[in-house]
Amino acid sequence: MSPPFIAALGDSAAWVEPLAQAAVSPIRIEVFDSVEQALGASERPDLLLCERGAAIPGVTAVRAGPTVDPGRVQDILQLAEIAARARIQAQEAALATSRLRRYQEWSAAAERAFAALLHELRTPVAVAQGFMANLRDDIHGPLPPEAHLAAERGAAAALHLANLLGQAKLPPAPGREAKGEARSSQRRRIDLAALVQEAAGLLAGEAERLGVRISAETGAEVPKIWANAPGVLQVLVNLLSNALRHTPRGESIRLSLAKDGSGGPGTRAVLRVIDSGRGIPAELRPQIFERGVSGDGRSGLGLAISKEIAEEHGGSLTLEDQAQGTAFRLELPADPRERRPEHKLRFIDDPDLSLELLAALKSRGLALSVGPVEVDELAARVLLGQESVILSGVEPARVERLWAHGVGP
Amino acid sequence: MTTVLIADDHADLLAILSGRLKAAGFEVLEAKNGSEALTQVRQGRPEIAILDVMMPELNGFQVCRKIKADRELAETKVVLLTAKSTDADRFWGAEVGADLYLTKPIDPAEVVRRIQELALG
Repeated sequence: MSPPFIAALGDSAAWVEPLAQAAVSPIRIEVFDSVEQALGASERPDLLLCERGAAIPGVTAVRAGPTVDPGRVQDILQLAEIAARARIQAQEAALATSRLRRYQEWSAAAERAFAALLHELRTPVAVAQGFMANLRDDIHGPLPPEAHLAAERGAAAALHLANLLGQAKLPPAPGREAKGEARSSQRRRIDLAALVQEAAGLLAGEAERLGVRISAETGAEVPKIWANAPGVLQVLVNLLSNALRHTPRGESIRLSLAKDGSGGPGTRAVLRVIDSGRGIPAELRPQIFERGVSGDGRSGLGLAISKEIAEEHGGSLTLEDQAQGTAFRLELPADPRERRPEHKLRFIDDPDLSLELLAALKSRGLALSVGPVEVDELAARVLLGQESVILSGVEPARVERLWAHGVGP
Repeated sequence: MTTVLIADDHADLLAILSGRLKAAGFEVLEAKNGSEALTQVRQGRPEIAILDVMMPELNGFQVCRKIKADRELAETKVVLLTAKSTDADRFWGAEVGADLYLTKPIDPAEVVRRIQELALG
């Protein structure tokens, strides 16, 4: 671990001696002519002493003129120590993140290889099993008794192998719910409005044939969702085809997409599918989502499966009260990146003010993160609610990138 | 004699079921992909069509939907045969109007038994 590194600029050189004398643990203090020179040193300074302050990303700057105030010497040493510790923590965190990323890549590659292997094995096993069974059953002519027995055993073993392959799967990844695990591994960021268009497109021919119009309205700021696209598309197609079956010719189905919630963790995208049909009979309403229950003699699986898919995503599918017709309400949680974190970043451009804040927070025993941390990683940590972060001297470009991650002051 | 169409893009799997169905007394038509299956259904008018779901050109779901949507062919009994066994696939199977949905792995003797039942019923 390298010791805290203080860079003194120009007139701040007067502080070097008092700081070096007051330090009880190893410290590196060097004098530089300019900020550029200080930043070009073999290591990046943890603390910059300068007469007029400075705004440099990731470096805490302290205003210190030619006159030494002995009362501030200890404060400055303490700040240098905090900043150095933060730098080391950030380096360790970056290392851990890169190890984690490599592990995730390996894990995803292993998962793909496993799936490919299963896929490749299934057909030859089915062929072996099929031919063995045909031999067993004398499809290609009678066999001698011993060969017949061998074919029987071979066919049974091959069927067993085929069954094992059919059930083979990797254990669920940590944090992944057991139910719907296969689907959750295929989730990605999805624009629900686009998926609604796709579903409407799939059923456009059917709607035309039935003489029913499908109209879609999208409210402001509908959040993107984190979902398995084919699964959600299946829900949409099901809700729409249900509505199509129940809407009289010449009338229309209304799809309304909106945002529910203020941007916090509970924020959801909400789709309402409203038809003007005769509605669901009162006696069927309580069990409409049960398997095998249907209002028109069909399989009665669609709504049950749709509700399961919605719930696997942490969402819901419900029936709304409606004076006429039927309204289904599908709610799906927003992509976590769409939600605003509860811990907010605070941007402070005044180095003196950030210095005061750092000291005040440290005296209250709060954990701090200062210094060079990758912006993406920082945003991720804040989004996870693990950390509050104070930055000094933030460049406007970095602020914009953080904003893009949904993090704001 | 009942005519059965069997469609599978894998020649061996096609031969296994085809041989067995012939041995069981069915007249058998064969197709290597979805569009060929549809042509065979239109021309040969089999009573039963066994469709593998994962086929090139048109998949089993699509062929089934086209058969059931065609007034002249809609009476054809359709059996979907697939390695997929998720609820989603069963849902699509029911949604396209399949009469029977068989999940692989399955003993070919069992397939023929189910086809015989379907032919009688």
